Amino acid sequence: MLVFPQLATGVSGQFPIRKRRLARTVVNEAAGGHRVKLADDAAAMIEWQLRFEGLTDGERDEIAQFFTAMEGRLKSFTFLDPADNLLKWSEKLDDAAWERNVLLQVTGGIGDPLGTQRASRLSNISGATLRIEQTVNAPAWFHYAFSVWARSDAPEQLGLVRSITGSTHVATHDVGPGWKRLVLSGAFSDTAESLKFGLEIEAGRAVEVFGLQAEPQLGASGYKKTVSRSGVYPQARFGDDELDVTTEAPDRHSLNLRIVSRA
Amino acid sequence: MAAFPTLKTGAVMQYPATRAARSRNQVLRYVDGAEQRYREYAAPLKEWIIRLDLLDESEVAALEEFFQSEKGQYGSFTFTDQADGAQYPNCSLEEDEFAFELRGEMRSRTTLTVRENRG
Repeated sequence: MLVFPQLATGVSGQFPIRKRRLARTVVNEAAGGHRVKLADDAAAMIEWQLRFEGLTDGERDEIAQFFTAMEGRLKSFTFLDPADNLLKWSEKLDDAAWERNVLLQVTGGIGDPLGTQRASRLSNISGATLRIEQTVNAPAWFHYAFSVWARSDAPEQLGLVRSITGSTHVATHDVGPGWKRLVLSGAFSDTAESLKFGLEIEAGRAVEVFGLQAEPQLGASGYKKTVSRSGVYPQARFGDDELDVTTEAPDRHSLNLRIVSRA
Repeated sequence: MAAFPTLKTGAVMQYPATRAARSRNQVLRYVDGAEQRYREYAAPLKEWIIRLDLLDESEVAALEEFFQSEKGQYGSFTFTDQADGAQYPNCSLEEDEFAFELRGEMRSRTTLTVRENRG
């Protein structure tokens, strides 16, 4: 899998990150100001301008070698947006993107920690522990932070799950009446090119959850709602044919990158 | 009809807020110096330049989602001018580009321009 690398610190971007979304609309404006418009959906693009500072020799080499392997703008690769949520339909847990047993029931429109009604109640009416999970086509060896807000009327337990074929990481947390943000962070030592993020609920239990988010970094950042698109871009390319690296001191480098993808 | 998203504070705009009224007229000048003027727009069109700073991740994500759902300047939506509380039911984004900068946690900024449509 050709994927833009994470730094040794487990991140794929540093602040400031600049991001641009581009659409294309054909506009015919009459003299009176009336406009006739036609949207060109296929022309939508997205661009990231990434500035990296304080890179070690190893990090610089990894990025430079990856840039060389991609031959600048020529080849495509997978890019995990450092400013987005890698999960689709983060607030629509009954969407087909989420795999679950039908005995794990989803009820939407529940009050959430932001004061709106966008949380969901997960009720396990079976006699066994069940999961709801989503597959993300991203490298298993990257560091990820999977986060969710959770609460329950009675004391319950909720498992945060990150799994690949043959290996599963579960962190079980106590949940009570107050909203609490839970995080599962870590990486697999495996070359799998997809992994699953999900929740595990014990038999006969119900938990309210909100803001499921997976990010390609060690810690959870502010929640980003997603719908049909996530922050995984499998056909990204570099925006330039040239990579300039500035060495400021021994083992300390900086560089700018532009990455583009169809939106 | 969609509506322009509000921030968590309930606000749409931050200071400095720019609000413009745009007219379009034609001016014909003759060799003797006389002029004939006529309007092309039946009435001025409003335009708002919305500069937003210190946004958190969810606010930026909401604006990004709004830009995608509007397909840039293609879609139309209702915009409430908080200067006078008036609702403008037929507005569009002015550009096919949405750019934002994340300078840190809860420190994002962007600028959007909204224009009133004719007809």
